[in-house]
Amino acid sequence: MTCAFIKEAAKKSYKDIMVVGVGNRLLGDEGIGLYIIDNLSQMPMPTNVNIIDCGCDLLSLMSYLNKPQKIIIIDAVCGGGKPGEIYRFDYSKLPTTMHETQSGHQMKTIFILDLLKSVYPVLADSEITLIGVEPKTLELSDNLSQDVKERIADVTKLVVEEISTQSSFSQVG
Amino acid sequence: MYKSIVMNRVCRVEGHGGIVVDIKDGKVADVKMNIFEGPRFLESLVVGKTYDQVAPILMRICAICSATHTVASLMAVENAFGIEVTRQTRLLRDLLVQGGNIESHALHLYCLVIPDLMHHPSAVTLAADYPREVKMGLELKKLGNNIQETIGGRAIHPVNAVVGGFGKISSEEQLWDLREQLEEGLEQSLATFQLVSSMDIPDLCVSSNIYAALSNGESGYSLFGDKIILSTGETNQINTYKDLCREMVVPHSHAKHSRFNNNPFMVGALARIALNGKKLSGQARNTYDRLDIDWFSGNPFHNNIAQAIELIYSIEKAIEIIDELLTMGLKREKPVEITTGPGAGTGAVEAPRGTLYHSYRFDESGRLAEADVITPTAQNLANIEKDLRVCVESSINESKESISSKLEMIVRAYDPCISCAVHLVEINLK
Repeated sequence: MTCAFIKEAAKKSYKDIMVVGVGNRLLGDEGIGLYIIDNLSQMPMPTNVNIIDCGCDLLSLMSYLNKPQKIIIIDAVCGGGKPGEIYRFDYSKLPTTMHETQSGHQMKTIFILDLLKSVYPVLADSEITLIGVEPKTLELSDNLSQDVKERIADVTKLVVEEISTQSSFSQVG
Repeated sequence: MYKSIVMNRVCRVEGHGGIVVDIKDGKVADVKMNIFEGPRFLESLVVGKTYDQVAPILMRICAICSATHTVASLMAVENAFGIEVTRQTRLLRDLLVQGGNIESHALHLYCLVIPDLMHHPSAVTLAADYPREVKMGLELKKLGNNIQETIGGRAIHPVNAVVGGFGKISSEEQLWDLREQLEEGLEQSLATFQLVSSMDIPDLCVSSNIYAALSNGESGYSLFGDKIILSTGETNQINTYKDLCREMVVPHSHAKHSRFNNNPFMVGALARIALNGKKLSGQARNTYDRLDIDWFSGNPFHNNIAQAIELIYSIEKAIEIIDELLTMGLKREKPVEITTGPGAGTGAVEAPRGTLYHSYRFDESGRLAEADVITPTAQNLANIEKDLRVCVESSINESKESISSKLEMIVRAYDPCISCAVHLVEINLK
């Protein structure tokens, strides 16, 4: 990382960015968020970017909620589209959900974000983007389906574009 | 008149379970706790594996209780091969298990129970009104995770605890850091106790209970022990656990039911506090002494107060263990070498929800020939059905909605982990 880049980042007041992968690698396409994190971890990143593998426990996000930041969460999303279809949501624009059915094993991403936002006010000041990929299978398997595997590069590109709005990749290295 | 209440999904319990109640001519005809989460056959998966492959597979029975599954599994293997581990290993394992207890109790109390007692549909709506309290619960859960991550190498499914000892051990700096977090957690656990004990505890199904828990004799309160004690006065060695857990397949459940002398029984925090509460020390003992509760009254909702006491206990115990480790000085120790061969052994640990048994038999070549795992939830299922029946009988003239709401609360009080329980199914096709 060059000094010039750090100075430029400071000048432009780039927000910190947290890229979070969520999922279970043992349930087929449920693990897509973690495969994207694997990919991103191999790439040089600006200093204001933190890449996190949250596994199945998105609640562990609370360890990182010490300041407002841009948060990009990558997960499998059953949106009714074709397998491999990519979705992008702004968390702040999602309709309010009534949460009634929950268990400690199966907390949904939106439930956890709503819960954390209630108790960590800093999250309300953060910009949260959800990037989802339509799974083909959520059955026991330690592999992605071909349909989802083929989209890894596209999802990675989309995340990099999201990161680029708050940092300068051209200065990395 | 015939009335049937079918609840396909009990909210806020771990896994997929439902309740079916049949009422005929004003009397309860049948009450069933259905477990329809899919069977997982994990005990079959480990047959043929070597001793070191067993724990990494069987800990996958559960994420929340992965520390206790790991330790019970290691103890069963070591028991089969006649291995004694060092004091340092025993302490590190105890610390790992206490971390799991803290995480699980905090999660259950704040996300699943307190919303019930404060008439909120979920932790999210509770957090809107009580952000400070819910944050405290989440911080306690994080503390439990941090202990497991520091000691076990991962917050879920630990990798450092191995047969015969420990792989990578933490640094003294990490232990000091954990100790500081635990001091803060102790204040939060005391506040949690104040919160839970100040609430009106329901009495929807009070009936006589048989309790079972591990005991380590005259030593202090512990989540380990070589004996199983019962509220009936009987004592068993852990390797005779099958005398206690007479398992039977029931047609409505993917999980087997356990009975003792044909009676249901209860394990978990309430059973531990009822049977071993007088062994508590420190602030956990102070809180226990301050309460005017008949732990043997058979009210499953006392389980939640018992969990709040155990939160304090586990944090104090974790501090005590860290102090001993720091005094001893952490040493790199090579795990005890194992000579494989035929053998059989049992390991038992008090998991957050009750006594967990792992029992294995190895063949002549030292490969696993047979595995038996009995989880706390499987042991509690028959008792849950008993309590559900008592509740329906006393509220039989109420609306379906009212009865359903009460039944769900009873199930949640037990903190059942259905995902854990369903690996126990056996289907015999003839």
